[in-house]
Amino acid sequence: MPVLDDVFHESAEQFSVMLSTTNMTPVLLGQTNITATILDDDPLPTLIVRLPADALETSGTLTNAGSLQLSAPFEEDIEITLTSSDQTEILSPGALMLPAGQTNATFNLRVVDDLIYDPNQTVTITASCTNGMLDSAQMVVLDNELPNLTVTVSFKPTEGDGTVTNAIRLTSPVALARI
Amino acid sequence: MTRFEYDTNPSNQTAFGSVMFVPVLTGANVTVTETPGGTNATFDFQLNVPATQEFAVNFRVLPGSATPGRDYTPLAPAEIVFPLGHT
Repeated sequence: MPVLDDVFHESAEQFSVMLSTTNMTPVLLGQTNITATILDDDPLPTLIVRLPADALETSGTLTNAGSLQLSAPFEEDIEITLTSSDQTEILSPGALMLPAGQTNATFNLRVVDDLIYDPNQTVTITASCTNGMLDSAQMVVLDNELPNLTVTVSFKPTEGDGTVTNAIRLTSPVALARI
Repeated sequence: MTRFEYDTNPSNQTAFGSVMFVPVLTGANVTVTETPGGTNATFDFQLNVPATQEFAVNFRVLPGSATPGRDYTPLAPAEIVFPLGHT
């Protein structure tokens, strides 16, 4: 019975041969169904995630800026989940359906514009699939806030004031500052 | 009322003429691995004693999780012939 080879990674598959006789056949069937199991010879494809090297914090949505590539197609649609290591910088792209036979896909990157000075942040986007495929890539989100601080002194100190509290006010919040 | 039954035990062949011995046909499940260029799934069928006359058994292939034409080449229903004296 000819068994065909394909290029798809898949689970073991089965077909069967069913036997039958007529009343006049001088034989008894010990079994009527013989099963053939076909084991796959194709390895699990590798998954590669690609991202731009960096993006400005004010970029908003980078349409189709991220991409996925499989080393070989699947016979059926597969779902790939994309997550971000830092959702304050880039939102998790979510789930992506890769149609059967397709080896490439793109996805959007939504860059979050915060209002704090946080020096350039490295974000990891991880792609995973329930079949075990896994890959990740990194990109840098470039901060657009300036590290300069505007300081307002609300009073005029004089000698003998000692320690004055709440004397300095910042005009915008900072994540990291050294005064 | 008389009930007639096949006797599948060859050691009973010395019994009186009212008992008819009938061979039993068995087969084994097979496992094959996909091979570049294709391969064959070979089914072995065996009689427990040689056929006392030529006969044929019908077979047909049923798809399971495997898909005809994609995972295996389908065969039309056919017969397996056991010649006299073969097992």
